[in-house]
Amino acid sequence: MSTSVLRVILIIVLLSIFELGLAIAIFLMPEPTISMTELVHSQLSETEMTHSMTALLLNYRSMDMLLGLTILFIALLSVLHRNDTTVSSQKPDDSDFVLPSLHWILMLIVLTTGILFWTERYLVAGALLAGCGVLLRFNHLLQPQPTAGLSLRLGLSSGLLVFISIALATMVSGYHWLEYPEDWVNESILLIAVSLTISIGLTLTILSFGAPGISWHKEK
Amino acid sequence: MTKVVFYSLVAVGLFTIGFYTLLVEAHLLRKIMALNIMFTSLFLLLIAIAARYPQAIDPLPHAFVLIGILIAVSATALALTLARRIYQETGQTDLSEKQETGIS
Repeated sequence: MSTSVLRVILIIVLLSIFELGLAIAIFLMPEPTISMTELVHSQLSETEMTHSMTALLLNYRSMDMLLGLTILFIALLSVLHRNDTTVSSQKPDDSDFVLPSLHWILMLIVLTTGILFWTERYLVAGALLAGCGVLLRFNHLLQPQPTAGLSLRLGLSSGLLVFISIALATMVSGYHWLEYPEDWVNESILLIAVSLTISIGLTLTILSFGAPGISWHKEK
Repeated sequence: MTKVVFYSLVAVGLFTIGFYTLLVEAHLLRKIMALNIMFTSLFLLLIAIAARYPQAIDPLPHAFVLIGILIAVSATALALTLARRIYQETGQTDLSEKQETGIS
């Protein structure tokens, strides 16, 4: 037997042991002692939120959300730092699908984004905006660019900037880290939500384009 | 409880399949896809754990899944950018060193 076959067999044996260990861990999982569901729902009225998931993300576990956004931003930096001269010369392929009733679909997407935003599902609204960007790219309305403009950079970093500045402001003014002051709960949450949705939508669009900048397509 | 155990075991199986592919396959795109299968298995495990309470669904693991999707997307984008860079620099789509002498 060749060494590669032996290596694969060794990997399979080791992985089987690994999987067995994981399965045993699942069977030995302890029963929950406290009900998080009741805890979350009993505290929901204090957060001024209607959706328990958003309350979790922006209130109880806001630090995790902040770190998640930071990771997304680091991934974005890798794309922004791509010094690639081939970006501007990328010709849109004519064989891409061009939808005949694009404006109807765009209107539906914007409407759905509005509903999602209204019902406090900000991450999903951002992802939908990014999907909108990809649709525009395939229909030659958006064009990847080799550099990002100032407004685009501001939009990309707005989510993280607003989040961090509100966190710092609450800390400086004597509250706990990311504990929103009572008079400003709605305002600060709305500010975070708007910037979060815009920056996530823009970031995902940039990441799917794989190019540092975007611009509207100009007819020649 | 049996349903929770079933889905958790499926998650473990998916995780192992992804891990195996990550180790065995040389092509970078396949490695990235294997990584995504591992991410997905983790989400499945979290969702299964969320259903452990008899009265209602626990929203905390669901929130973690949302943050997890954010991180998975970031990791995939970063890996794809790196893979593209490797392809541009070396002209190959895996990390083996056998063709390195011919190019530079």
